[in-house]
Amino acid sequence: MNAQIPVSDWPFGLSEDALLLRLSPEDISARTSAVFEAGSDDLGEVESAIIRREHGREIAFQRHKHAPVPGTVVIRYAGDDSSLKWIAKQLGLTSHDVIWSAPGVHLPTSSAKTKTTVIAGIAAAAASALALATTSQKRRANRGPDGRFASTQRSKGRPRKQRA
Amino acid sequence: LGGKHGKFGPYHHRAKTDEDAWSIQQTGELRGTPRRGSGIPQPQAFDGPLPEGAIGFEFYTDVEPHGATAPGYVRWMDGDPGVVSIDPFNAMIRVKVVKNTHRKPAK
Repeated sequence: MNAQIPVSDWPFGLSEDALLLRLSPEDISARTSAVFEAGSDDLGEVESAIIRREHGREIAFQRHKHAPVPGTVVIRYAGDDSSLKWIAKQLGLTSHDVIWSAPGVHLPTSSAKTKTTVIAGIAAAAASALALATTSQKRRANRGPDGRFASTQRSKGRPRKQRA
Repeated sequence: LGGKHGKFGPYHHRAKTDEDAWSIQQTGELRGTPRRGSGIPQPQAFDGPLPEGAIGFEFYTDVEPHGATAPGYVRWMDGDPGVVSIDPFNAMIRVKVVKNTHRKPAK
């Protein structure tokens, strides 16, 4: 049984963006019983929910009203693959649901076929969803003769191919 | 190139008050507090230009954003190069506002 955690009790450390999903809060509530709370933060109006898995840790969802890439961010504790796999299973994620995954995130796969479709879906969805960033990305990629940004970006693991 | 206004951008913000937005334009300082779950102060914004018709402001900066964020989001974490620590709850980056659709507050 999942436990709902009030957003006002947001656990410290639950702050790593792991996935960006095409699912709406309504979709996520229907699949996990998570209850979203409306609020606001530095980026404006936001719907948030936190659930705690049985005998496990918490995972959070956030959807900002004005986010330029419409989607719900899944937030985990740094490196908490176990909870991420759990929520991916709870949500029954398909390749279509995933717009972006953080570097190093590996979604659960029940078969080779599923794994292939999820990876392909991430690449395809990310390419289309990030169209808005093209202008700034091009400017960044081309800036400066030393190429510092490009190498730094790669070293931090931000996948350039997803944003190109 | 990032343009004459800064190495990185454009980014935009849509959640400030009129007063805050014009203050940011005037001072060139974008401040931020820790977001939920984090103890690290971090100015935040959305990636890309300010959408047509939206109330907000658009800016550039010479400070490189933190890498680990979902698409559409940009953050500058206290401790990263160019991010100025103000106190344990506030950090700041220098920005150049190039578009501001907020109402100009009466003096």
